Amino acid sequence: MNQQGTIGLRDDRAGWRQRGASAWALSALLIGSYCVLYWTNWLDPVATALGLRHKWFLYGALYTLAMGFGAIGALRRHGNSRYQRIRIAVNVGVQAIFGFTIPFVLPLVDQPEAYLSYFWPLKLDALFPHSLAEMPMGLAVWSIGGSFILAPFAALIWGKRWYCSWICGCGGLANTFGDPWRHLSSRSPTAWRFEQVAVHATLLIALLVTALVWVGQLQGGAAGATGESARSWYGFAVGSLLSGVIGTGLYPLLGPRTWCRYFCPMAAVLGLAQRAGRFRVAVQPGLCIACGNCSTACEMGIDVRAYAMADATFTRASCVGCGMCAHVCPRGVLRIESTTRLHPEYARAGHVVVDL
Amino acid sequence: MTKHVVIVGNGIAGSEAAREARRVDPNARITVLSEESDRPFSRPGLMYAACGQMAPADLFPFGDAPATRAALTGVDVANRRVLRLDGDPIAYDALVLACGSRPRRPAWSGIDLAGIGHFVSWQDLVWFEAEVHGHGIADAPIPGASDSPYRARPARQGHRPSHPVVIGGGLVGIEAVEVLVAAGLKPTFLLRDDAFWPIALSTRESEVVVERLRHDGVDVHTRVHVEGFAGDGRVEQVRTDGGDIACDFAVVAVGVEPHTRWLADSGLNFAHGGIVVDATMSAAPGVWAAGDAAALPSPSGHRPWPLWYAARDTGRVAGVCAAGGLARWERGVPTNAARLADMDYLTAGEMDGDATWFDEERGPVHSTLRIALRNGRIVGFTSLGRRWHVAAMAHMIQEGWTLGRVLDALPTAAFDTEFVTPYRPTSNAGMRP
Ligand SMILES: Cc1cc2nc3c(=O)[nH]c(=O)nc-3n(C[C@H](O)[C@H](O)[C@H](O)COP(=O)(O)OP(=O)(O)OC[C@H]3O[C@@H](n4cnc5c(N)ncnc54)[C@H](O)[C@@H]3O)c2cc1C
Ligand code: SF4
Repeated sequence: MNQQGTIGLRDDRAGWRQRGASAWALSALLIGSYCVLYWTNWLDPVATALGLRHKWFLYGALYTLAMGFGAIGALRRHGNSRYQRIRIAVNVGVQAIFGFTIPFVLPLVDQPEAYLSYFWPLKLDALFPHSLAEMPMGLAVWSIGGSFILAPFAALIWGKRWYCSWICGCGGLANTFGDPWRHLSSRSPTAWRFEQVAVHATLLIALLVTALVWVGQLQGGAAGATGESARSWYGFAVGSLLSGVIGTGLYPLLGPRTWCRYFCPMAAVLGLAQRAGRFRVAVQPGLCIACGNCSTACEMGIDVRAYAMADATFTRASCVGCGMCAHVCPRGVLRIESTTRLHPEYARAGHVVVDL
Repeated sequence: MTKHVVIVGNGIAGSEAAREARRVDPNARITVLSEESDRPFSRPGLMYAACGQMAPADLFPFGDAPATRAALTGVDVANRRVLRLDGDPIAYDALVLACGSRPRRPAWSGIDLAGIGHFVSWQDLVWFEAEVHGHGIADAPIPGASDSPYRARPARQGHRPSHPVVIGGGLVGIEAVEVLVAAGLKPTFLLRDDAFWPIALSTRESEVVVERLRHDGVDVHTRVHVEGFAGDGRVEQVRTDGGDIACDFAVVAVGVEPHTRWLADSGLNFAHGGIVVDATMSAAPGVWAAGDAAALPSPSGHRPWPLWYAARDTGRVAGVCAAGGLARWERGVPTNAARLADMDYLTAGEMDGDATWFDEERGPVHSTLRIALRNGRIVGFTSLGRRWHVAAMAHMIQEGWTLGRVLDALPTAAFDTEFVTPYRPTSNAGMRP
């Protein structure tokens, strides 16, 4: 009944959540399914038989279902927090409406396949000259404005969470279907360093590929061929391999945010905005008991406890603002927030006095 | 010459002392000794590992900060040496005793039966895990004194208890109860008093907590005096003044006491079992004490203050002073936080005023708020079910704000998670006799 994020203690020792044999089997199954989806046409007849036109709609339907059922599980665990209830409901709703229903229905009513979709650089197509030219005017403006103004600006105000854990389909799957594995994200300093390099490297590659495609589509000829091959290489390496096969396939082994944390170029852009903006994880000084619930629950592998023990309110570029650290903290030490009002700096009444 | 700082204990007091000593004297040789564990772990976090919400390895806040394992048997203050059970004495220039507390063990008949234990040490976690889940946790206990709280205990594996009983209505007791509930069991909870934790909670607050426990299937008994245990090798019954209660697994959580019996011959001064220290944590020439093991200066004489927060702060002071720096500890406004039956509990100041303002909200948020006043000024604050900025509360108490001013300022002190309906006093709010 409380809106507060109470933990609801539970026993999580099941092997499928703890890298047991069942987790490996599940991971193999997911990876196998992605390979079949991306590189065979075996699923097309299944999709047709189900009235879903082609394999991508079958995938969309399964994806939305996985999110829906995952959301039920996630809400059973965390639904005692109002933040989690609203966030997960919005995220699943966005996927069901914008991710599946609209794209599926538009051709049925003879409308062009133009709808609100991902922004650049998550979807490079959003900014290619040919695709922009094909869009209705409004949508082209939305595509450009959304990518360069709306998305980063909103991240300045609310942090990247407005996108990564409220809207995005990848984040949505991670926080519903992938939620049982959130504690597996690596907290090692090496993983952090790799994350910083990898996520910005993918962003640079995305920029480069976009530039090549632009030059190619405007000039045609040899440049056009280069652009096309860059585009299809990017689609294979980043779109299929990193976001699908590795990103989702390894949920049961590496945690659900592998793609978001290490490779998503959109997360890189939003992370930079977040660092410059006002989103923060507020820490109450002197209250942490070092239990580690927050760090364990962090799907981005942030060692929240280290900040809490150092009484340091912080903003990390990778934080997707899922709110789980504050939710599980048994002492009310943490609060994710993006208000302009800072907590009044009340004097800390009596503690160690060090005079060196 | 490099100074040898020896720190007994790698709990929070010992770990913070080591960190501060290193900061103050980068060249000092620092030795941390611990009987209990190689790595510092969060004792208040034990329950989260026990209920499976976290892995035991998630309890290590300082990563790999290995201590030297040793079971110590005394201190020779005159010759600056600590004595150990196995091996040569260890010489020191400065000694920090951060040896914590041990569970109180009443002289009840049958208390040594199998299936009876405590919930305080790493070895208790290992035992608990084996008894409740039949799992093993990696542990390499070292031989200690026969009554050491860090001795490994044999546990029955592979059987879940069918009649678990927790004795003692304090913070550790309720944590043990919640762990058993998380394991899907329905424990019996035996309280000596009329209500749960009456030294800290008002009657209504206790009722709220007990209602929640009962809702989770806990069988709460109040006003029960435990007299002993019965059983053939393993516990089968708890004997109480109200009759026998079936029991095949019992956690005795009737408080802790400073773990200082091993220091009896050291010549140090003790109060209520704790090592008497001054505001710099100095106990004797070359000896400092901190954390649960220390009896800290207070307006009513020297007393142990077995709280994580006090242990952390006094550990820092002891570390600075032992390394040759200057630091002093001030009690300030006492604050504490806990979670009781999944409700956030927060308190600041002293609750023994001459008047009390109380409010209970029901609805989407179930919370209680109690403000103790003396001569019309706030001296204490206790809340269940909501989160507050604890430094703000301490500040208001320190400055002696009036009730009106406190209530006006409450919104600025709110720390609830986003989207939680803000607190507003209900129509029942008001002064209580
Ligand atoms: C289940 C539980 C929950 C708790 N929850 C809270 C809470 O929510 N909030 C709060 O404020 N407090 C809480 N506490 C109390 C808090 O944990 C203690 O106050 C704090 O841990 C004390 O720290 P310390 O460093 O003084 O001693 P300890 O953590 O007890 O450390 C003692 C150290 O001394 C070593 N040692 C002792 N004797 C010897 C010897 N003879 N030879 C060698 N080594 C020795 C041990 O190996 C150990 O490393 C809780 C306690 C328990 C048991
Ligand atoms: S911030 Fe909260 S959850 Fe994290 S370690 Fe501290 S007390 Fe535990």
